[in-house]
Amino acid sequence: MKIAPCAGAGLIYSLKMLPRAAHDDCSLLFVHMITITYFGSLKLLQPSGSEQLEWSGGTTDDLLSQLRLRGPDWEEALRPGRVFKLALNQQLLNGAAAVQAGDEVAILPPVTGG
Amino acid sequence: MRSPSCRLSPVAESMFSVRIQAEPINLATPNGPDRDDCGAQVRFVGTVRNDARHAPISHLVLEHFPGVTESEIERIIGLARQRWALQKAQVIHRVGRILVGEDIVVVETASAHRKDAFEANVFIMDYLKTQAPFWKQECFADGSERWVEAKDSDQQAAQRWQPAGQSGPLAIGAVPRRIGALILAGGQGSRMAYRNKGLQAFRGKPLAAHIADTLRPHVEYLAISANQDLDEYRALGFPVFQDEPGYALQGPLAGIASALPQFPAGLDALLVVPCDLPLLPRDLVPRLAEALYPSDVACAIATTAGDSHHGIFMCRPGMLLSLVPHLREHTDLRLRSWLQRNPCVSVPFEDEQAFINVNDLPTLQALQA
Repeated sequence: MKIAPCAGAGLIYSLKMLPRAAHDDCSLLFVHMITITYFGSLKLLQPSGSEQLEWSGGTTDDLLSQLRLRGPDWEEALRPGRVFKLALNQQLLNGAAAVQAGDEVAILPPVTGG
Repeated sequence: MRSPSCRLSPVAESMFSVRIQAEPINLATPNGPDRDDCGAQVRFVGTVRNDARHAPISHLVLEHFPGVTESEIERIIGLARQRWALQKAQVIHRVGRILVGEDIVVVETASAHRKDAFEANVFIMDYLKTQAPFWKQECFADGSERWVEAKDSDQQAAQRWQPAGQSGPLAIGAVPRRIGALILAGGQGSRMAYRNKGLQAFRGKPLAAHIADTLRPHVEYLAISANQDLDEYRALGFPVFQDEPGYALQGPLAGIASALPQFPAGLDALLVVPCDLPLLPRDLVPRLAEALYPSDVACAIATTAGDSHHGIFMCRPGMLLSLVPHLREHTDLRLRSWLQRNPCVSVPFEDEQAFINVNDLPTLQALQA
């Protein structure tokens, strides 16, 4: 019987190792893309307001790290201490979440309504 | 006939509404409550103004996140209703191009006594300013434009509604919660003609996929516990773990104990959900988390109308230390008997339909219809 002595604090299992969905192999062109939508002042980074990105798997944190590498203005607008929110497929997130091919991730800067 | 008390009829339910519109707001339309037990009505109107300290603005352009903005305002209204006895809470917000002098937002609240309507109105406005996804762009007379920066004073205004020392669900920029989730699909499916329950098709996809879609935005890690049809479960895109040989088929506790060592380190909580409840509410995870974190309890269990759904719970990692000893020392291996040995709290959900358990084929067929 192989049970870790401290259940719950087990092996580190990278999300990058997630088994790929079986249907992924069929249509490489579409299935491995995600859509990113930008709101408010973040449109200054991406004037069209959205883009398709090739995605090999990972979390929303991985996605942000990847975007920050695009240049100083990206790094500043998306710096970790800045208060902004993410939505995955139209649901606001409270923390990091796994992103799968086909997902839509929206990046929301601090809100200024009312 | 008017209702003699403040009970909400279906008609009264329409007194709680959210409208986002590009057209100018028409305040002349009377939409007060048609009842005589509301002694107080408050209407806040926000208007686009010119700030003398800056260049003159010609107009604003307001952007929102269709669908998400509406649900966020509904959530804010729901929070206000938990807190004050309201008979009405209506929000109208404009988007698109808005000229100086035009109304941008209207919040109307009504209650039996003025205190509730007043306070709830301020609360809703403070939260609209800090939580609802709207973004303002100022367009100046000279043709230039700029995105408005969020103001600290708005954040502080919203924080005053926060109980002292509590960073609960209302917190601005709440600390991310690292939740790991396990979908239990390890049963025998004997009432489903021995086909695995979680793989039964419902509205175009397997039952377990419905649950994964509900949980995924809220959890950092998601896995499935299964003992047959493993490849079909893996095809859903998540890790699948079988019962360890020593525990084989001893029920849900064995499934949890077998999967846990594979979970990433450093999670704040474990969420467990069975594979056969495809209609679970979208706010299941945040509500269980809210119940768990502020209080001194180890576990939060979903309930409806007094029914405890023991298969749907979120617990702190510390509680899991008792799981393996429990499996070794007890013969009653139902989830309930392990949960009851720990300090648990019930989290009531209103919608009983959302917790329909697809236990057999007739239930599935009835739901499909």
